[in-house]
Amino acid sequence: MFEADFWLPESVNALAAGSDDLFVFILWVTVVSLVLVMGAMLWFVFRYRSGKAANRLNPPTHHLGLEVTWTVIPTIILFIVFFWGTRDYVRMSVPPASALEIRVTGQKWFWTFDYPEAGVRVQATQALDEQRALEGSPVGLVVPVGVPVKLVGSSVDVIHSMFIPAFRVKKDVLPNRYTTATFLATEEGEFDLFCAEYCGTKHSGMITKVTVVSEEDFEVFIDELKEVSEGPVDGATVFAQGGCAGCHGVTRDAPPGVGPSLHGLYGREERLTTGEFVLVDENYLRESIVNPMAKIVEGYGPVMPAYVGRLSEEEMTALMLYLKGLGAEDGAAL
Amino acid sequence: MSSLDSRSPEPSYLGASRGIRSWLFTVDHKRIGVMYLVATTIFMMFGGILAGVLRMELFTAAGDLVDPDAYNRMFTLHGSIMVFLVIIPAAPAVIGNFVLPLMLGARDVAFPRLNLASFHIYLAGAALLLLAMILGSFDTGWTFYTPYSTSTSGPVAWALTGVFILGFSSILTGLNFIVTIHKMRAPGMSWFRMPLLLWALYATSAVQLLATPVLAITVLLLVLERTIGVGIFDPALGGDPILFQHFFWFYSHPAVYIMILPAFGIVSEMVAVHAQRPIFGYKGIALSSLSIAIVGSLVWGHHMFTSGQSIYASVLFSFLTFFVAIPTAIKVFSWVATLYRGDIQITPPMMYVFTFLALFMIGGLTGVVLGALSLDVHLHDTYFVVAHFHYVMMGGAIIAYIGGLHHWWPKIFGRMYPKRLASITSVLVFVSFNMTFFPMFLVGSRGMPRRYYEYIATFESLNQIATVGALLLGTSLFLTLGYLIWGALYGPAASRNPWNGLSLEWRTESPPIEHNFHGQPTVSGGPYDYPVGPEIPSGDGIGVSA
Repeated sequence: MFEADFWLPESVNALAAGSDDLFVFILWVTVVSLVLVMGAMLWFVFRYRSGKAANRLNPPTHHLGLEVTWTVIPTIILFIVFFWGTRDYVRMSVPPASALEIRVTGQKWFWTFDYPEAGVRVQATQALDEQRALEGSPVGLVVPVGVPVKLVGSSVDVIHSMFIPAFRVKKDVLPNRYTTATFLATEEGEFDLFCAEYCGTKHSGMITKVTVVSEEDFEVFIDELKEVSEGPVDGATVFAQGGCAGCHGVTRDAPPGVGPSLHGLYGREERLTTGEFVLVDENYLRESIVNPMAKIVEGYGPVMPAYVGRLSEEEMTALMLYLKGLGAEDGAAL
Repeated sequence: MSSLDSRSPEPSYLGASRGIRSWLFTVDHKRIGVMYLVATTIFMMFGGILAGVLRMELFTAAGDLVDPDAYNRMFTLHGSIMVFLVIIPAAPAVIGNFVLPLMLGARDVAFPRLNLASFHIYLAGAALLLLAMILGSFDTGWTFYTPYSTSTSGPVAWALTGVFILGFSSILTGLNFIVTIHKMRAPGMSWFRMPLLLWALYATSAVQLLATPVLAITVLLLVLERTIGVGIFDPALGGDPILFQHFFWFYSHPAVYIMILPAFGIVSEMVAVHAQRPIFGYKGIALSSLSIAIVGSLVWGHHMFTSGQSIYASVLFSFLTFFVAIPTAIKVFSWVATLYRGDIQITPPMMYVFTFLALFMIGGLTGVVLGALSLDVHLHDTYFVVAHFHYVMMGGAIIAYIGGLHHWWPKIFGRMYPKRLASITSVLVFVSFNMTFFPMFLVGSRGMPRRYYEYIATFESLNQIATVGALLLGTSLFLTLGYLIWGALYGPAASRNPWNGLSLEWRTESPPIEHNFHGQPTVSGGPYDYPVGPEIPSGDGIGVSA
């Protein structure tokens, strides 16, 4: 109850080492204040309850010494808390010069991590994370132990916030600007990464892991990514990495998601929110990926993020091929 | 003002005229207060039921009761209703409207028609918020952060227009109270002979008058952004979403003091009257209300420590934040010191004073945790913050308001509720409140973000305790509502001064006559000048001569 580890997850960030001590300090201040004030209150109630004989002569309405005391002591404590909190905050916020830089992109409702030096990218959708976990590969944001890391974040749609409780790190990511956060992991392991700024339907699903690995394993991980990223682009992979499966089902009996099911969609006529009808062809599919707000199918909200600039032409082509094939084997098309 | 000194029986304000029109178009501050009471109670029930559904959804880690969009719309409605339709108007517009002119010894507020207009504007704003709900509702959160609020679907513009209109109700009430306090104090009532509730309402009104226009401008800009794309806040149009957060909290942080300052005033009244002795540190309490209002207007950036605002701004806002804590601490100490050598009556209002002190202290001290920069980074936007502001807003503001209703209920309706049942229920409220919100501190500090429809399994047991607590809390509050209504309709008749209070509202009938007093009351002492010598305090009207 009075230990940091009762209240807070284990801290594995060297830059935030000791910052939990302030929490424990204020916890003690709180407990002592509560005991003193509530104790005085209950004692007075017991002592001066109506009907009980007690000395009620000249109850004081002022007492300079007392009033100065209860002004000065909280002031001193609050100054201590302010300086302590500010010192730790500055230490936690300023990235060491040698930090490994990782680009973090928030998007409804998944995270993308780019390692600019290696030129590789990891996307952390729930489906991809599960797949990686099954394969025994590191999940989510993969970082080396004992190396300072600087996260440079931005968003492609609304504000999200990268929150890693075990690192005591939280920073909003915004469209059109960069924000930074920094840490130095002291232990290998898997830690939660949450989105902490409300961002809509799947806000609570925008979670992944931070996997801290040894420096050797980190190099292996980056090398494997390099190999994968040089192979031919596969539409199903683009679909998975784009986070499409979070909202769109692709099988015949997929339950309706946030977006319409894509099974057998190609070649169909769809009714739009404006009441117009549109034939689903390559142009409509492409437009709905880069600028989803343009033509929205009836019964769905304007919630899909725009993928303009997010896919290379190569990826777009592969994706289109994949989408056209969905349900085609059942003869659903035409 | 007429000084007819006839003592012939006059009908009370409740029976002075009949029919629905005589209520809806009344300019009597007491009837307006009662109408606000009915309206805010209905909205509080609605917001509370929404909270109940939210808590049931969170009973299990998986999302299984409602779908995520419905969940998001419900927490948005819960927040918007509780903030804009319940807590902001409750204490000033219900208790303030009813009690302020009576305490001043005045016939009404300075501008009775404007007062009625405030109520009608409130209804119009509430109607627009409800219209937005019927039109499919909105899922922006009560904070309306851009660019989410400008890009999501739903009738957000209607809801924002409702908030815009509600602001005017708040501004006009504040204006009315300030003028009334300046111009209509009874002969002999100097500033430092005013009951402390009036000081608190004065400070509240000043904040309402100065901060609410900023909210109005902000939501108007947001409506323009959504409808014609002006691009003040949307980065895609060259705007700045952080600017919105500054604008929003420039109002919404002071709004916290609009909610809590009247509560401080109510507690000051209750603690002195039910301890039957002069309040400790009258001037300290009176002036700390003003200093909280001033300093509280300069701390809005502490909502934005992780937003990407400059580190220097964060340090400054953190520093200023701690200066609000000092006058607040002084008030708490003064209330407790008032119990020393008192003649403490264990009445339902006093039970709510005890409840308030315990819950508000926890709320305030956890605010110190959040004011510290390094800790806020971890705790911001987690359930720790949810717990903190429910301890302050509900454990503080709403609990004091409910206590105030128990204090003035016999004055408002002329009948007494069952007191023993009320005292027992206050204990139930206290226990179930802690059961609901205390686990949230823990689940938050362990990392659970707020506004989560689903959560990881580790957090489940604490959430289950909170959900059970919330259902008990809801039951206790419905019980409270039930016996209060029963008391108002069928309770035993209350005397004009059931608690032996000394401020002027206790010198007229219960319920008061339409014009409040038979003559112009005068004041020759302080509002808490209980005898402190050897004689035993008893009887009505001690310390103030008519």
